[in-house]
Amino acid sequence: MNEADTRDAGGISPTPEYLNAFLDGELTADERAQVMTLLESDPAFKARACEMRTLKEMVRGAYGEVPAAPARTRRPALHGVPQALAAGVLLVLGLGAGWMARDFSAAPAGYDRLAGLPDGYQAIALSERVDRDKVILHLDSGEPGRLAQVLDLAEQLLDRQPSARIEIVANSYGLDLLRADVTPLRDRIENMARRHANLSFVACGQTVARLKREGVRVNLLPVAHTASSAINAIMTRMGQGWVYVKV
Amino acid sequence: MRNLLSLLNFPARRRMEVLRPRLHRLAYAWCHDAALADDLVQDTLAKALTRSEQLRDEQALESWLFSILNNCWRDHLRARREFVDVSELDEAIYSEEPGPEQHYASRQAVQRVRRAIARLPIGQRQVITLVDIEECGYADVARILEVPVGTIMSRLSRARQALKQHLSTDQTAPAERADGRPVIRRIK
Repeated sequence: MNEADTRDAGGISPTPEYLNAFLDGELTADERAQVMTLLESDPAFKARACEMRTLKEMVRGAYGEVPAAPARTRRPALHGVPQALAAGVLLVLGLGAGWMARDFSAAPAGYDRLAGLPDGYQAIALSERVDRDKVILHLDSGEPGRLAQVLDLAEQLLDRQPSARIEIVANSYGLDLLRADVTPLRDRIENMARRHANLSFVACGQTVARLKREGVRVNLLPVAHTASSAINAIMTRMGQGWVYVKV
Repeated sequence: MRNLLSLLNFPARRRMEVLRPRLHRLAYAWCHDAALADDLVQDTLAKALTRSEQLRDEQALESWLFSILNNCWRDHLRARREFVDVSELDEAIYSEEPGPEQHYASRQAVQRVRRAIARLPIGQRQVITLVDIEECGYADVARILEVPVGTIMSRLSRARQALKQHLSTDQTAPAERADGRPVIRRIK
């Protein structure tokens, strides 16, 4: 609270603004202490403060429960985003109980059980013709555990079905996986890439561009391809019947 | 396509979902119309979705959504009436007869407070609900509503003063309306 016009607490009684600032937690510790002292010594001020406090609580209490909207046909909520595409994206993102998810059908049943997929992962597919042997693994976390996890998962799936095609798509912090000077897993990645011709690594071009804008030097591993953006890569693949798994 | 990239920002999306009921409550406190509140929230989230690249600071998500809600609400008011100047909007009254859910609501006190709030000019109503319901700091409210913090404090002060009066004299005459739609009145 640094508005000069409210700083007359030293006077006889604080202004309404100052009392509000006190009630709304806008005062510094010192100022609060002053007001507390005044509350003790000035019954009239204390009454005012109590009244205002009650008022504040009444306002809050009046909206503790508000009526929900009556059921009705919703109008399209996404302006400027093609509906189908948006639906797809939300599906891709596994927005389970999300606010828009109720407007769209869930992923086709059955694809949550992808052969070789360990518990805790959910496989999501977009189109009717799904090719279970083509899997996108999406990584957006830079947590070291996750980086290893995505490779573990790729290996498990490839062990199970050596002809499967796996694409690891990394964006956001997940890009660390593919940054030559950052990744803790360079050898393992290069080793895997040599052993599996049908395993590919895709870096998000948007993330790369953003990092560069921020002045970060981005050195990708030679095995990594760059897509215009992660979501583009994911959307394209899912349109082709690939199964999506978020790691 | 570029905007959709931002959807990959999972934590923000989840938090947006968590915030939905709060947005609805706030929108309801502003317009006192459940269906309209729902529309406003829907629009807010849709706008947030397509603009989320504008969101820099994770912590600011709430304020950012509230400010989008404020814009949606203003767009709605502007579309309904001839208001051009934002300052006119702030002083306008927007209220309606108690709806069915209010008629049948058992909690009289709640209805009394809501009625009193409905009698506040829009600008005051927005400030007091953001501060009391959402517990926003004054600086946040100033950013959300795009008005100086001094204005926030004076509106809040006037709002509480008026509310105190409304509640002591109580309600009786909710804003008149002709056609079953809420009324916006200009106050000089």
